[in-house]
Amino acid sequence: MSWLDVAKTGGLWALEVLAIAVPVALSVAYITYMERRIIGWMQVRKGCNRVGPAGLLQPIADGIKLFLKETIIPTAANKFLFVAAPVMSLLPVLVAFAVVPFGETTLFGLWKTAHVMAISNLNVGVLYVMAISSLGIYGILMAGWASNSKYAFLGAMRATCQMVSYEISMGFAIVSVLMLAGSLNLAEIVHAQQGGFWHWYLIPLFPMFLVYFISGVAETNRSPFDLTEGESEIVAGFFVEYSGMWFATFSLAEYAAMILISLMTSIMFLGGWDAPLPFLDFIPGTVWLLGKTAFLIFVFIWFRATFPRYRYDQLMRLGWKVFLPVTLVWIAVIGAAIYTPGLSEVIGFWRPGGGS
Amino acid sequence: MLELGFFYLFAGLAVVAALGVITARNPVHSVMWLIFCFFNAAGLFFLLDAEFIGILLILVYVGAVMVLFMFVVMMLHVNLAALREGFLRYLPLGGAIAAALLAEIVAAGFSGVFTRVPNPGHSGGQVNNTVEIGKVLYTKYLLGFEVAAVILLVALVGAVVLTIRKRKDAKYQNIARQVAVKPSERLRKVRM
Amino acid sequence: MAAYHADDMLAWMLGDAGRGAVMTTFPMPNIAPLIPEMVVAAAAMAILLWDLFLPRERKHWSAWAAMITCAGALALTLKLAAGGPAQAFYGYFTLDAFAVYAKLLIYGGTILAVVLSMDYMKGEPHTGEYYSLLLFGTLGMTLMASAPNFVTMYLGLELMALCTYVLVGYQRDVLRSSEAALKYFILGSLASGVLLYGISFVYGVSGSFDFAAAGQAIAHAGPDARLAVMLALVFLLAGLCFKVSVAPFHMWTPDAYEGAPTPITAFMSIGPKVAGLVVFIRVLDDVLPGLKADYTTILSWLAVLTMAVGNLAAIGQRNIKRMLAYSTIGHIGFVMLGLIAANADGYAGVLVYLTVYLFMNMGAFAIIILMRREGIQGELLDDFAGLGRVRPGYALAMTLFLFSLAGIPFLGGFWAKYVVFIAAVEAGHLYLALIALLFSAVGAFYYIRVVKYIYFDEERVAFNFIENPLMQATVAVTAIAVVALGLFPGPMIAICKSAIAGVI
Repeated sequence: MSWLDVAKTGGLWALEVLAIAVPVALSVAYITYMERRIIGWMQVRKGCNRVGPAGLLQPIADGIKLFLKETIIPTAANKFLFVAAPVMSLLPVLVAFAVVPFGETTLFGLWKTAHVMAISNLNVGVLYVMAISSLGIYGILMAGWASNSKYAFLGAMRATCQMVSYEISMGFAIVSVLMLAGSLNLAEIVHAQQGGFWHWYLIPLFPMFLVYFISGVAETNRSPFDLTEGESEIVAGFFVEYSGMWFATFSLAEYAAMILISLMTSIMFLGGWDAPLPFLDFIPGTVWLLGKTAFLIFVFIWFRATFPRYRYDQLMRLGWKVFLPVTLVWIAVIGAAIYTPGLSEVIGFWRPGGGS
Repeated sequence: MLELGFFYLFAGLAVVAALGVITARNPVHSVMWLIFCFFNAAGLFFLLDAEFIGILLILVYVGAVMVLFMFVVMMLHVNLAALREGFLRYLPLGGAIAAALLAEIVAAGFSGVFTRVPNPGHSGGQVNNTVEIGKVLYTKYLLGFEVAAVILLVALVGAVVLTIRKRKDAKYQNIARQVAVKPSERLRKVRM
Repeated sequence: MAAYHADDMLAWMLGDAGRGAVMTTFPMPNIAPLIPEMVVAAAAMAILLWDLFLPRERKHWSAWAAMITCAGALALTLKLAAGGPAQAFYGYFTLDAFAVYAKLLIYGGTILAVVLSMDYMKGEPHTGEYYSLLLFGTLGMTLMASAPNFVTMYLGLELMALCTYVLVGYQRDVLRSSEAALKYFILGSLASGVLLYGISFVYGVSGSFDFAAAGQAIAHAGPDARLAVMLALVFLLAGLCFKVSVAPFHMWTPDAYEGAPTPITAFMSIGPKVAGLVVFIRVLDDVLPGLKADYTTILSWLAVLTMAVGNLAAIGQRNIKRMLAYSTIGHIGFVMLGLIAANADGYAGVLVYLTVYLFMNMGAFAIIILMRREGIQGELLDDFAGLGRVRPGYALAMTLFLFSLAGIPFLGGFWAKYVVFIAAVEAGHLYLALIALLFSAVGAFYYIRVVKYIYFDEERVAFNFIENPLMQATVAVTAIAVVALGLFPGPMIAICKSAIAGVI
């Protein structure tokens, strides 16, 4: 391998990474805009509409403002962890995007076979996403502890319990998907659902779809599960001591996680880049995938505008006493269906190699 | 060559991290060293083409177990001074035992016994670990798998039994009763 | 490693390793020999749930359920045993006469422990979990008894150990109970680690978890493997010795015995010892036959040490539970003579010993529990003073148990000692048998001292017993068994010998 090759490969990698990271960063910026506008409309007000045409430059202005603000590090804080925490919470989310397939392309006929548009089409993609996104909690935990503030610490404790609890039902929801798709590869899971919306796992796994998405909302600490921040009780939760750019990094992580959860939900339950009706195939798959994702992000925002915040014990009860049993029962149902003679043909419709 | 380099990188960092665990002054730092150690162990698994186990190590240990570890360490205010008090006193004995164990395994390793089982080599990405592990786990090792599940259940029951305390002063909700409530229980008409 | 090398059995399945969804039909393993264990597991889980719906005054129904489960599982085991030795789960479970006899003792021990618990645990919280954990512990022991390889053995061991850790610390408000549980847990985890380390050496040398296959490989390992093999031997022995409380790995025993609720002490003194010794015998006989000279030396020294520690330390104890803990250690020292003899007679002697021990020890603990009354735990030797005058029945039974434990002729305990001593002498360990005889005499001292308290001391506290017919029946049954086994030991010894016959 000559140096040229190394440079080429490295350059290509860098391009791939940038091709994912830059759009994610931009989306985050504009999701904040979208959120403010949508909630504005829902509450019969305008939302941000001053900076730029229809307020479109607002996120840029916000970014510049946060960037220029002074970063205050409390005297009693553990300096190293305090600074490392925001990075630790953002990094896993961004790294998780490495295996997300954004569609398939032949690059305008340049390649003979369709290639999956992912930085790495990993065999254990689903597990990878789960493993990496579960690391985000460390950022929050460290932020809460390193701040040396009781509100921050309480927020971090709440976040830990919440995320660990909901990760379980999320995992089980994924298991039911795996049982049908028979693969941990995200592209394979999408392939298993191709051929119109009646092939999507939304239909046989509807309860799991709900559980996964709602757990996803809890996992990202979004309203109505944002007890981590709980401004009426613990001021702002784990990032109460943060300001400026480091504070922005936490928001960045939260919105990026939102995008990730929406993408994963689309891929696992909504057929990924599959068109809902076969004749709509002429529209590129990526557009469909991003459209579904955008819709789910809208649902995130919709939740925020609609639901009041959960009480903490109710949150725990929902996770442990409702979602966990439901997922377990549904796994048993799916498993039994696969191995019951009469039902296996029915469920076989959604399994690759079975049905039509 | 590259693989060997990565092996030494991961293995070396794992050792450094493990040393960090026991020498760190702050228990939270100890936990973080341990997490780092797990990452390096996962890296070693990746080098062996055992990506499933590697990911699982991160998912289960780093993603869940260590989070709870950290949680507990942060909640407890561990008195460091008391913890380190006997350190030097027990160091000679502990160190001697550790050295003996190390010497034993190194000597046994160098005797060449353990390398007689042929090296499976690289599967070249042809083998899907997850599928293969699933197949043996649910056939050959089914009994062990089920017993392990029972062990986990017992651990769960044991933890609950040893810790659950119904506090007298805590208020509990009875959801079934809340749902089943009738208007007559809540509202009483009085003749004025 | 195993995942890479497709076994013949699995070869047909590993044919397609494609990543797409494959409708894999899993072959149904032979599960019939495992049915009793499944019944126990299912019942344990059922009790866990059922107990939640029982009103407070009917909580003892869980105890009856646990007892019926054990009796049923025992009956099923005996019925299955009639069909001859069997393997299940791809050779990960074996049901031979040896295992069946061990299970007889294990289930018997659990049933007696449940009987002892019924009164003791009345009014304690979480009784459902208590009996459920007892059953899970029993499940672990039966798995150990039937383990033909290290995987099943280790998992059974952990299951059993985990249940006992929790049960020892069950009375969380009692300080010594929590302390005992913590000590037991930490030392037990360390021992498990040591055992695993040993197993990993065995696996490294032999590439197999199977007892027989590993034994073959170890026997044929070359001189260059000597170091690894010796390490495997040492770590295996250390781990197993901990579980059956052989000195110097006995440290946890007195604390755990004293701190645990008394029925649990009784439970711990039988089942885990039976299961541990069965595993011990299988490991010695199947895995380490090639190292017989080495392990005989090690075990001989350990046996002497164990007998010395157990019998000498017991003399100084004022708490009878603690005294019985040291007595257990001493008895394990005697049992080890059977292991050292390493022949059919020796192993049969181990079974005989455990059988007799089951009755005499359970009887003694039943009496201790009966002594518990208002404000008194009934655990101090002083509490027994004057028992002979107040309750001659209890006193007689206790005397029988203690004499039997001491090995006075023509009680069960005598034959137990006799069988293992003779086996040791026949195997050429005369000096060991002599030492054992010596310590046996030392041991008789502290047992007979209790008898002295019972008959020759003035009562110091008022006795007002809580009458409990079930407990009295237990005492009667065990006392009769001790006497009967003492007078007619023939059938029991014959059964034990035939149980071993299939293994050796």
